[in-house]
Amino acid sequence: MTLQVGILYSRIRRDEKLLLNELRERGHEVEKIDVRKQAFDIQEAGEAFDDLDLVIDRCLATSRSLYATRFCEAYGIPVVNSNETAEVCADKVKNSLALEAAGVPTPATKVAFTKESALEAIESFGYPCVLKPVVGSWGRLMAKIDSKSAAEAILEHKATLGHYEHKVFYVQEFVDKPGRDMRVLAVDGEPIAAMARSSEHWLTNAAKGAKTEPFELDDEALELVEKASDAVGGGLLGVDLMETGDSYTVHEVNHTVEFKALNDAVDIDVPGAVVDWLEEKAQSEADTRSMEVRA
Amino acid sequence: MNRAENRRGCGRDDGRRPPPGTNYLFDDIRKRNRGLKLFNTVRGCFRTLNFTNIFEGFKGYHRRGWSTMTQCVECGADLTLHADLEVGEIVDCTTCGAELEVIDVEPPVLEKAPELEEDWGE
Repeated sequence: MTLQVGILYSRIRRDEKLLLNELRERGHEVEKIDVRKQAFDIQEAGEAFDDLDLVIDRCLATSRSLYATRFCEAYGIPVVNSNETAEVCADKVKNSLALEAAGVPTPATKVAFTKESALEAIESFGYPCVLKPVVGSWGRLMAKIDSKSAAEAILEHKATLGHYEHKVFYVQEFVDKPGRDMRVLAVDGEPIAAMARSSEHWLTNAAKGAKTEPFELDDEALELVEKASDAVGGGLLGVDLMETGDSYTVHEVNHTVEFKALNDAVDIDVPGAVVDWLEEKAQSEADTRSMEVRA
Repeated sequence: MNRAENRRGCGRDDGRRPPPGTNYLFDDIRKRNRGLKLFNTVRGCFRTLNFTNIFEGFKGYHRRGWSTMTQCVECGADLTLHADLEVGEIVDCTTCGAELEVIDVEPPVLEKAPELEEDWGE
């Protein structure tokens, strides 16, 4: 089945390039849709969306990703990931609530709206604890707070940064992980590959230069990945886990997951596996639509 | 037609001596021959090559890749671009370190890439 695939983007990273090459090599038609050049009409889809079987959301900006996926769904075009998944994953508060509700172990978290209540939340965790932006990625603006004076300074800074999101204080317990965390790339809860990201720094994001190596998932991790994926609505996801002695905690699920570092770290053909899944997804969406037409 | 008349005919009768080795008598013939040669070469190419080969050649260019040269829009230094360039991709200038966005690929057009925004990421 040859697909007409739309890719929402504003920047072609190596991840997008891997996907584009894989799709083209398999003979699929790819429509690159630069969201910066689109004016999304609430009544009808623009020309770029004509005859698409599937849209892949690879927007770099979370705000654009959320609206663009919403429009795709309004136009009746299947989109990976769904707007529901994007909404949950894009916001750390929603992400934590979804994981907690699904019974997935996740770090203890409190959310406060004023400096005073945020300081209370920080004090309740003790030091160190972590303050994160509710929207953000690549480990940016993350603060490990070691003392009350540091907490006061950081809260003061955040309160004056300007954007209202910085006044939503997301405070989390500090998980003393063994110098590494795990990134699992999963499709509807089924892992494609996993890697450990190690660093001497408390932040172990690949974007921060962490060392990566393949990681073998045990049964517990496999189960957690599946549950975490279901909790946020499924799709093509990056599930982040930390080891907590004899178990794991899931601290985040990412919806426009980057996989270039994973592809370099493991022997698996990651873009190939992703496109396999996309083909299945497009086929099942087409089958569902044809059944609906018949009914 | 002697040489002097020929020089006049070519608008060069200004009393200046032509450079050594110049033979204006045959210039027109040479030009005609050059044109004919070019025509024959192009015609020959089209006769010997078929369009499928030409098309495959262009496809090969895209796949195998021949690097392209352009200039950094920030510092003006020469920049070698890899072959499988994509619109929307970011290339770094090795001279000044500027991040440049690919706006077009044939021919390559670069612009200074947008600055990092707060909500960027995965």
